[in-house]
Amino acid sequence: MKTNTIKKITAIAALTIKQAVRSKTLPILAVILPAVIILIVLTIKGDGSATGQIRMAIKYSLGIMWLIMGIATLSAGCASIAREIEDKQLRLIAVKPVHKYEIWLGRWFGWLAINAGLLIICGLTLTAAVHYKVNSQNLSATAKEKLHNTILIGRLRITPTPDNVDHEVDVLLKRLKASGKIPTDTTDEEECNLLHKKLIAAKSIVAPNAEKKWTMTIPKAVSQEKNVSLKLELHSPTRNEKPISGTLTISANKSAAEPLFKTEINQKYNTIYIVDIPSATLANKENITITFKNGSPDKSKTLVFTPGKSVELLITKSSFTANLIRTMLIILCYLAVLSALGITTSAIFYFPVASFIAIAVIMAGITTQYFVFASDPAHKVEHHHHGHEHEQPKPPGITEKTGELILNKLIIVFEPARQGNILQDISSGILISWHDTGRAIVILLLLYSGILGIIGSYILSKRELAALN
Amino acid sequence: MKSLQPTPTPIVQINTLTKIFRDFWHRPKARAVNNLSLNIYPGEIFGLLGPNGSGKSTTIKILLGLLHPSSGTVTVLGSKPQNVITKNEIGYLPEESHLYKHLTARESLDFYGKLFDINKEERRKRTDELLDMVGLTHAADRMIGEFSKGMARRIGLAQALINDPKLIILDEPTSGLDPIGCRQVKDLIIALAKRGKTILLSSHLLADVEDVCDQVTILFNGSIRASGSVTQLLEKRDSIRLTIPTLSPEKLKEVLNVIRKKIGSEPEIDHPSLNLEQFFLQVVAKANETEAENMSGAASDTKVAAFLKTENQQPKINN
Ligand SMILES: Nc1ncnc2c1ncn2[C@@H]1O[C@H](COP(=O)(O)OP(=O)(O)OP(=O)(O)O)[C@@H](O)[C@H]1O
Ligand SMILES: [Mg+2]
Repeated sequence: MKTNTIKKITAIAALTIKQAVRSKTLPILAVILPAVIILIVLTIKGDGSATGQIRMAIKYSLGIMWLIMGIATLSAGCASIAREIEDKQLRLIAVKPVHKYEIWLGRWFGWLAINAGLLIICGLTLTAAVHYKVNSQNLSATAKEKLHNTILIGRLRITPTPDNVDHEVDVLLKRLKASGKIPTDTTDEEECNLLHKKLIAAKSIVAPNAEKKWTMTIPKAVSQEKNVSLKLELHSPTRNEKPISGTLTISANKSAAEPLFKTEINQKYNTIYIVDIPSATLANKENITITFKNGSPDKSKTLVFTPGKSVELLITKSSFTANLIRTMLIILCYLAVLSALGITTSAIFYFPVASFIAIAVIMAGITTQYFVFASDPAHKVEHHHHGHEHEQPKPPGITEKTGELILNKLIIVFEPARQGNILQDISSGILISWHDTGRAIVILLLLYSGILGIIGSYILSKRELAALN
Repeated sequence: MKSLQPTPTPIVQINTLTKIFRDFWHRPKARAVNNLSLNIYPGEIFGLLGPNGSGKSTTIKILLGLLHPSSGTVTVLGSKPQNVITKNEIGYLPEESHLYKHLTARESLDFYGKLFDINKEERRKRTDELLDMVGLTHAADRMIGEFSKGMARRIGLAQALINDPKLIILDEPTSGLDPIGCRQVKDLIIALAKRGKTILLSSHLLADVEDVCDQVTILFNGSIRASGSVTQLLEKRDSIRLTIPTLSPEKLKEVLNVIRKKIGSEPEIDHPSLNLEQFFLQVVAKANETEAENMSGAASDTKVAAFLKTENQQPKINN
């Protein structure tokens, strides 16, 4: 980029910031946001426990901060160019040697800087407020340590490889077909899905004296880490007050005789079992197998493990501060997309209309999430089997077909924007990695904002800026 | 004679330009500029004259790329109006203030200077000089949002000159200015022209145009009704004027009798005062007669709106 391009963009960005300051937008946000964060952190109750309180405090204060900043950014964006066209200031810019993309970028960078500044203020406020809250509560040393080891931390979560039941499904399907037990109105695909679900469910039940094995792939960078703990959710389908007992082993592969780690469990039912694992256990391992043997003699002590959720390795990778910085960076990327959307709609439409359109786009983005779920084939099957007595489903009509087509396109547009639930993660001490952050920067900051920027500046360059007199 | 000199290339070329404003359904609303052609040469002070709504501002906006022509071609400094590079050489003072309210006078000039990629030192120098020139040094650090109309207009003029432009386009430069300001602006325009700038200005203030312009084009309903140099326009070719000292009634009678005998018609006697104002009114009156309907501009009849009653027409109030 030429230096004079940068100079012009900087001039417009600086103008944006000056306007935000002098119109009182920025000072008001800079007071309201920290106030809201302090209020939430100091007053929220959560489930009563210290960890619960801090978790809720982080989650909700960041959530509300994000919401307020999102609304402010979007409305500022929607007003920006549209109002400048109506108030005619843009005419004086357009007759200077300034490209339309420089105007767009200037506005966008201006708000990026404003948001970055606000996020720094909010991050510092949140850190201070949480620190104050933790220290003002007369917590025991162990309770504080627990907070710092579980919530105020960034831990990488490794979950087991999902059980592969494809082969078993095939075998079963063949057998069922041979015996003619499949209902005539069910397709092979539907039957497959059903069998799949049934088998996975069966595998998650562990009867007394039975075993359950999980395999995990350990990322290369992890095997040297110091603090590793294993978390196991022990659920029993029956209400039985007697404790659960069993043996937990970690071995290098499925058949290894000598386990790397072994521990006995004696725990109340429906609790989470957490055990620290010596760091040497994972050294230079690519795969490990975790085995739980249900040691309860009691017949009623059958355990259920929710697939994909009941066991995980947590590896300390980062401090809370570093994790918070990355969270803020990802939030900044989202805000950048909102401001890009606002500026682009305001380059196309006049002021209030621009806001409606931008909000409609965001709504579409949010709701397609639910459409993805509704069009999931597994979900359809369930419906179908519930309604055996119902009439045969009609073949989809033209409206449904076009609807589905549009939906599929929308999903393609919005799907990459989804970055996982970062608020859930940061408030549970789960690592938000640099990889996640980089992904957000590339997809949200560069790709989405870039595309919106190209659309916005192109249309702006084609418009008659003096069309309103 | 002009034809003996090599004709310089015009700085602004407008060729059969038409601008029709259309509504959402693309139906024509107003024909603001109609088949207009004109050239502006380097160093000229070119006046666009015309009643309200005659298409002066529309023509200017097209020259600046703020509006697109419906037909016809426009060339400014050798390129299309949309060309970003040529904007380096243009200064524009809009009809009304289009400045940012939240900036001070000094910041505004500095901001526009940055858009021309002028370095910091030079920007500061130019800003100071321009503030001094438009007489606003004392208000340099006040927000433009607080400025009076005339003050904002002066800053508008200053920003139009920040890049030391070759072509200066001024849309009604004296509107909103006090008499002294008007005089100063007119002197400034003449001074700029002496420095080789080309100036296009629009106005309906005839004195302005008469005082400063070399070339004048009178627009009505978006088309040209008259154009040429001010002296050319005001020349009455079918008659000559004899200017003699005022005579005593007897002597005047004698002289008139001689003239009557010689030319066989009644000579006109007046004081030498035909000026642009009279000329302008003639042109507009003539145009109004020939034009079937006024498609764009404001009507020039002096009628008082019907609901505004004069005193002796007050309706009687029944007690
Ligand atoms: N953006 C626009 N949309 C619709 N019509 C317009 C627009 N701009 C100008 N017009 C119309 O075009 C005609 C010429 O307007 P223009 O502003 O060029 O006049 P003007 O000569 O500058 O008048 P004034 O002396 O009042 O400034 C008018 O009839 C006006 O209503
Ligand atoms: Mg005008």
